[in-house]
Amino acid sequence: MRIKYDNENKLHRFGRYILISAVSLLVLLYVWWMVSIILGTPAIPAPPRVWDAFIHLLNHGDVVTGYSMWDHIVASLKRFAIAFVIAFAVAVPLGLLIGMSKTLDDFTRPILEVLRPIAPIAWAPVLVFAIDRTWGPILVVFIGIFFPLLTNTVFGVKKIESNLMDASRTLGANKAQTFYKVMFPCTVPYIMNGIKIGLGIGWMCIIAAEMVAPYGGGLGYFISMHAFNGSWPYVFVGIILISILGLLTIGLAERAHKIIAKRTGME
Amino acid sequence: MNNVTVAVVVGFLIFFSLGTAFIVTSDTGEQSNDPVVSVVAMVNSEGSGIFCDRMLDINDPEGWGGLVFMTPGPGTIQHEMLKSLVFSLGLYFALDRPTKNNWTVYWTQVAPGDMSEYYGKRTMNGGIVWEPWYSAILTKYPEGSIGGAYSVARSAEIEPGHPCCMVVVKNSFMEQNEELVIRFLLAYIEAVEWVNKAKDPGDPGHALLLKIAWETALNKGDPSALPTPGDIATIEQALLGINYDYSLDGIKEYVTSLISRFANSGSITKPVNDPAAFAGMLINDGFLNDVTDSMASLREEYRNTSGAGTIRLGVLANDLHQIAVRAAWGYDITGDGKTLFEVYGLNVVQGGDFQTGGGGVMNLFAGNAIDIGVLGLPPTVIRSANGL
Repeated sequence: MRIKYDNENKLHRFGRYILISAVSLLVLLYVWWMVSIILGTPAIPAPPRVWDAFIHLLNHGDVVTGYSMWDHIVASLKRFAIAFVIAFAVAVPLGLLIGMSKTLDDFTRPILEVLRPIAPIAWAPVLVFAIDRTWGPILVVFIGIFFPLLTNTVFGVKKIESNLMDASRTLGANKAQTFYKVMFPCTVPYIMNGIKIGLGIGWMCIIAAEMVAPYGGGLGYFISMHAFNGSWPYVFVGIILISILGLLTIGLAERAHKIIAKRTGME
Repeated sequence: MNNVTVAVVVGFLIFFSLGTAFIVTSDTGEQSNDPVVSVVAMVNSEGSGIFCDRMLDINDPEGWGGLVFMTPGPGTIQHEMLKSLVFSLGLYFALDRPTKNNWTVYWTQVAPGDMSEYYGKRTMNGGIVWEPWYSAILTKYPEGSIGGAYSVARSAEIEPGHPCCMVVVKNSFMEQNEELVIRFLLAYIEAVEWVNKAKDPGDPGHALLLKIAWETALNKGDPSALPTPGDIATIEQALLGINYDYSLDGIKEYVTSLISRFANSGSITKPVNDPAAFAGMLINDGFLNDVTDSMASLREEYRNTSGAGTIRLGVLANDLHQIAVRAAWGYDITGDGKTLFEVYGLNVVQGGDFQTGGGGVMNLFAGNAIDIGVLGLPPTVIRSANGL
């Protein structure tokens, strides 16, 4: 039986996407396997050894720390989620205000321009030591998410067409109505873009911060501890878990973006 | 299908066929864990201690449950020692977590040099750490004061005579540079003998030993800083708790026991089928025996020579255990205007940065940055068993 590919068929498109993705990942797996053989270093173990380590971790947990795999994942996710909520709560309102007020924009610009280029990871040892090992890593992630979210929000406000604002005022909208009927919906795509960028940076930060402050587990600590012991298959399990969690969180953000855009008519 | 699609499909088929053939014909199974480094001399035994914000009895579980202790991390002898002690008290030992219970002692990893600061913040109850940090904490937070630290036990009370740091040589270097290893050991042994003599406050070398100890362990890189009376008291106290010795007697048996201990704790992840044979390969006492058997003639032969060769050395930061190596490396302890390594014709250079743990020194070996390293026995055993 021969199936003709139909680009208009949703199922066909999905099938094509799955097939290409599977082949792509298979190529990655092959390249990894071959690199591990060619280099012959224990630091790059072959995929079967990493798979065995993953199964062992799933069944017996992390014997060294007494944590299960899920404990480490939850520890990282918890820090990440707290940092994200704080960054969102601070960056979005601040970005909207800066976007609306030229004076505030002028005032905050030098501060932000000085702080923004600093890699959030550079703050890790400082914040961990100056504050504490619970809030230090959270603040590192906060910084990682905060700046892209803020700059995208400000950019979003500035990109609103003045015609839209004028039209809403002409039609009798007050300041509050202009804000939540025009300004906020117009900014949403930019905020969502900032969230997606921030989430990617946030994952890098949480891992680095957990390596600096190994308090209460987490995938960063899991990786650094097993690297210290030369248990490279476990290091790779940690790296793959980070990749999966990163994909999931960014995928969730994209899904939320689509839903919000649809509801606000900004598709 | 158009031509491009056919070409892509054929390309993939060739790639997968060749890749599969390559993978199948290559040995991707468990790599051997024959060590790539050898332990050629001991650096010290004992020299660590447990402190806590309350007095505890190492033979009574009363009061231990729910406490949080700092350790230098899994894979260090200090961590394993505390773990064994907690198990012997009938309690569990787990990584610190938000919800605690009274039948578990919790641990959290902190760099030894940072333990004092963290203890001062009172978020942790105590810790186990090597010298001089153990003495430094007891000096900084006197027992009985508010937030004071109590000495629960020295490591010698928990495991008398336990070995700690070792001189480790990369096998490939050792095979091609036997004479350099012998010269290194001759200088190192002379330094150990000098340190043991200079520990006596009446010895003329005592003041220099205190200076070396302070610069090695307590000064954090400030060239203008001077030791305080508290620093001197800390060093005097710390030196008393460390045994400086180069002998490898009994180390093979100890390594054999360590292997099963680390396999059970999950630090060794590759099976070691014959721990005794592995210990025999890791501990190379041949050089040390040769040197000690013919010490006088070898000293006569190699002393005051020059240009023998260069050795790249990897060491730990702020570790008083390694003071003999530092004394032989950077100070004129013989009074003839040269370091001991120079006296034996060696140009010893630092390979890589100072490391905060033995795993870092093993990484320097793995990255071919050093020929000889000074580090703890446990990371040497774990990393060697895991294939480096």
